[in-house]
Amino acid sequence: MKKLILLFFALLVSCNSAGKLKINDTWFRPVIKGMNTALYFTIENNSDKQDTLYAVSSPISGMVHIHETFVKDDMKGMRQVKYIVINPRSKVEFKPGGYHVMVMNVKEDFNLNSSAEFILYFKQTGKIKITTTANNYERN
Amino acid sequence: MRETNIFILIFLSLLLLSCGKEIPVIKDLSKSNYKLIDQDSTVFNFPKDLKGKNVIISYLFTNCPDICPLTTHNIISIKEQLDKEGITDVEYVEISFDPERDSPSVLKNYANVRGIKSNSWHFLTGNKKVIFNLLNELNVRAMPGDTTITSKGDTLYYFIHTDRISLLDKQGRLRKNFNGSKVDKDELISSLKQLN
Repeated sequence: MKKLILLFFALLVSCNSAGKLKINDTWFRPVIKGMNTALYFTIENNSDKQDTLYAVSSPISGMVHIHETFVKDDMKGMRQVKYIVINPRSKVEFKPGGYHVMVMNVKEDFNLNSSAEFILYFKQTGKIKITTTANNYERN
Repeated sequence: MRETNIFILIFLSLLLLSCGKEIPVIKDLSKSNYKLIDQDSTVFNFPKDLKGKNVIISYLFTNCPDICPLTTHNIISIKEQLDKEGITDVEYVEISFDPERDSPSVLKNYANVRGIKSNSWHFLTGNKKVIFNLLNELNVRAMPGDTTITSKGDTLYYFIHTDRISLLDKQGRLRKNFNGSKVDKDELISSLKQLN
């Protein structure tokens, strides 16, 4: 029974949703105070309406941007993206080497497994608050 | 039947040829000398201080949130696999192309937060001109974009850079380049074994 209750709360933490929009697989990279990190997640739109992610904020940073990694002349860089459209019945992944949320000049150290709060702003759904942990998932 | 036998014979011959194929030398850096500084603020002579070891080299700026840490984590995985196989005569080097911001202490923090504590792992910074001469010799490019100061006083800057892992042999010769963030770990390990 205890295990079932724990599993229930674990699922609650790992899957944040507002109506038919779900934010899954959330994590960010460990980071030292004053440096930048990246937040990753998957947005799952289970509704018949399109939605748009247009901003992200966090109490751990004064400057948070939606970014994408791009390739130019055999080199890689990143640039800001103003918004991301999530089509009906579709998923958008924020993952290493692709879309990511760049969290700049963080206010404190975030070592492995420490947690932080982020707010995702959608045109239709409004705000979705997520709490997630620092991890090194690409090593798995 | 005869055609099948000929096909098998050609296939086996090609296999034998590829087994004995040496990885060509891209660039000989053995005569070069770049005086750099590692994460412990110790002077590091590249490639002299690495002589006698095969070296896995990558390139980074520590404020990079995505591609550079991804490459670092790929190398952590490669090191874990090599350690598991008992291959320990390998040195790991990460060269910063943002030496003005990546001081030894910043590089040390970057290593610590990722649990990198090995003595064989060298994060290198130094004089900007020296660094870029070395990068040029390794055919690695890094170009900073415009720096923006926000209304809150935060500095915003990016680099566009070569996404690469390089393999240097025991004689200080550049032998093979790989995509850094999307490296085929098995291919890199196999190439490293061929250098021995």
